[in-house]
Amino acid sequence: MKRGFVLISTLALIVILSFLVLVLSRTIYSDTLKTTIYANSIEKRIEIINYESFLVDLLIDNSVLNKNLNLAEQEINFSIQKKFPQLTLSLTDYSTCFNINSLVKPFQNINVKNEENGDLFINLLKLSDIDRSIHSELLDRLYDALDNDSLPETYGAEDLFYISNDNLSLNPDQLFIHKSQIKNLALLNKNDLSRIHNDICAIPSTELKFNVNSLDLMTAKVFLSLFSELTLNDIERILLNKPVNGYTTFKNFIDISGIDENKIDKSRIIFKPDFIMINYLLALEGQIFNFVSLLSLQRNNFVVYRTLVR
Amino acid sequence: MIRKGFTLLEVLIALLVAALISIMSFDFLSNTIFLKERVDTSIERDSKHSRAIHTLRLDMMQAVPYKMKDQNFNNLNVSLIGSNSERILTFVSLNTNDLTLTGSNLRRVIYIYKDNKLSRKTTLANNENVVISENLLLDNIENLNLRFGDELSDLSDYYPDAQYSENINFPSYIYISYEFQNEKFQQVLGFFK
Repeated sequence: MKRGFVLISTLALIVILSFLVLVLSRTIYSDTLKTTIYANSIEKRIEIINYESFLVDLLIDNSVLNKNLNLAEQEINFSIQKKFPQLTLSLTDYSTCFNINSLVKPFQNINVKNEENGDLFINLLKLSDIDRSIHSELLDRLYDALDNDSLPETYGAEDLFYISNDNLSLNPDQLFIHKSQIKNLALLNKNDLSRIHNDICAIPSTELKFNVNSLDLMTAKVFLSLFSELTLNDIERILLNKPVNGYTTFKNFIDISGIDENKIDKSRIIFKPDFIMINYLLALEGQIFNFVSLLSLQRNNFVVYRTLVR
Repeated sequence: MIRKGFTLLEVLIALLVAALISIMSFDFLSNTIFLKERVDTSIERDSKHSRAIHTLRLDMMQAVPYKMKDQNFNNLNVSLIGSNSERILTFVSLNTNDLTLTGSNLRRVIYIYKDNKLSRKTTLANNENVVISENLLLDNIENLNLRFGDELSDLSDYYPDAQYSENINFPSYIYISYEFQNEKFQQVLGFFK
């Protein structure tokens, strides 16, 4: 037992020293990991960005996928796993929201208010239970923010109003880049905004079109505001009769769904998205990195914006 | 008689063995500590530079074609202003998601190089009077130089340059170089538009 003392004390000393070395090495490793993981996430994002033109081409060329975004999402996730095993993406159709920029239309070289679409926007406000007393003011403020003239609408406000308020950021006579710019008008309160936040969007176009193949209960409100003569029963018929590969033409849509074509403005219906949002989730070393791309489905020049936030 | 404790010889042997192991491991341990200090310093320095460049890279990735106004609210009709004077970069980026904000998610991002310091400031997209954040990115850097262009072989010292077209909002590349403790750092960054 006494002889064992030398052995035990020696072993104890070795254990203590090894523990010290281990702690130091562990600190070095975790410090290095922390700095590289952030750099890796950015490099991965750049790799993914370079892959986006392929995704856009795929959605333009494949008529089955562009008419069924759920299927497209599954297919792309399946194929992308080989190249980016840590990546999951989801697709959102940006042709099922109310484009705020459609409240103006091009006239000669400038944008002027589009009253026809303004009426449809009022429909959306009514369906969203927004206080009726602010409908006209909100619409006029939006016209003034988006149009190119400096003449305020009856209930609107031009640059001077915003310049005089230090906390506001006026719109520089151009289309909205992001729907959050509606907050700069300082008219909608938090509750009102939350009621229409998911229904509106800002895309770089003055057109207002709806992809009927992405119609669902979440987007039905926007659809009803565009086609106010339709009822919930009509929506149900469109959803129930939709072919697996989606509606292909206006005639096909009317024939299969059985909807009265007089209730629908043909020019506002499309059958594949013009704009999509891709939400990427990247899992690196147990941490999740998120980023979003809003893309136009046209070759070349397809990037609208990219952001780390939705 | 039952003996308790250890003999002097046993204690001396134990002390001798312990001393031998300590001497042998001292060199190894001191090397590890020295290595840790060096790695820490290097990580801190590199991560500072890497963080600064990555912040710029992320801002550029999130840049939007927003035509800015100047401080007197006159239209500038450009989405990016780049130069080698104090205010090296100014553009608008979609980089916040604070739903409690009363204004939009767009932010004007301004990179400033002054007194050998590189700092980043964000303001409302069209109102620089409202500053949202201000951070020092790098200190003690010298000879910071930026160049802009669509071809790496043909870069200009400022943006927009003579070849500027209103339809093109951003240059394809920004080349950035600077010196820190006599070491030269350089990067080519893209807008990926």
